[in-house]
Amino acid sequence: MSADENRSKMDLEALLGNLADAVERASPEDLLAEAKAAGQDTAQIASDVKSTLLDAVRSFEQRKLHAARAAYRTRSTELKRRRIALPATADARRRMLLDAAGSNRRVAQVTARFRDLKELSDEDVQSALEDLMELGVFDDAAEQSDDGNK
Amino acid sequence: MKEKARVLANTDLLASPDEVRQAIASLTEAESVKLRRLAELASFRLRRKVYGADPEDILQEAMFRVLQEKRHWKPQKVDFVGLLAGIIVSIESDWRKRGTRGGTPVIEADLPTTNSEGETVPTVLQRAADLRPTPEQQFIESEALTQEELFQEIGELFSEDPLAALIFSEWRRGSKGPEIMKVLDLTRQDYDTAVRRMDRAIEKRWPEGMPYVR
Repeated sequence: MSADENRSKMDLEALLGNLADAVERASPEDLLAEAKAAGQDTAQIASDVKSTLLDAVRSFEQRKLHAARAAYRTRSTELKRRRIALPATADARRRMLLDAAGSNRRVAQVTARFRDLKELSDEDVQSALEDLMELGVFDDAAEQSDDGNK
Repeated sequence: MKEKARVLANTDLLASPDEVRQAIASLTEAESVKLRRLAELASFRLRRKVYGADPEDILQEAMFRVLQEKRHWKPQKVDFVGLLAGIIVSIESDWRKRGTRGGTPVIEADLPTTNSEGETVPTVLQRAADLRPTPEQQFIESEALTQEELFQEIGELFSEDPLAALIFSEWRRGSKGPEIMKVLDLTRQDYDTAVRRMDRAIEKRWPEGMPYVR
């Protein structure tokens, strides 16, 4: 027989496919019996498989949890950064709100529900400023302030 | 006999991690052994294309795909083991394509994550440096056989199993399973049992996977 005739018409991929097909079609019980007959510690294998799968579930949950924590941390830091930019005194905060209402249409629309900004309590002024900050009204000013601090 | 791994009760809602945990807990020893063997075979085949695809990686990736809905679970039609078996085939196909294109498969389990402090921690892949062949792997490759040499060695494994030797010889001649069963008057069960003996013999000879082929 020539070398060419001896050459296999099956390649390695096909061999591995043939082997895998027989395993895929096998019942778990047959595979268990065969593994035991081959001297494998099937109880240990089963335990390892379950651990691997459970680890994956835990890892998936942790990743989601960590992502949520990271997002919360980023948001908290950002809010804190904005609050820090609020003036220290009640008078200065009231002036900030009045100036903003006078120069910014968006602020004017938001504060239009108040009849007289000058009559607002200090707490309401503070609260209004924080709301406006969360809306991003003062972002430009905060960035300029940050740039100036660098 | 223990109850088989249960299927999820709800066909429409996503499987929650708790439901998946219950399904894992109810896997029988036999089902777990089957899953492990399927992951090992996929790993064997992938090893020729992609470095670092261990059976554990494949099982973990399968779990991630279930939880991330990359595979829809139809419990009325496919049980948990059937679902994972299908996903393992799909993972092998995906990673093989990427390996063939020269890309590195992105293993979900190895995507960046953070610790409890919110700091990014190195992934398994990063810790393992990369998927390029290690000096040991390079040595193995340098020792690779030709396909014919490997088949010669495999054939010798069946010297005391005439049916396995016959089936292997028929495969090498290009015959397919149904043809072989007909010619040798074998039932599907006879044929598959013999093929699994071949699989075990190969696994025993090369527990870390078959040698590379030049």
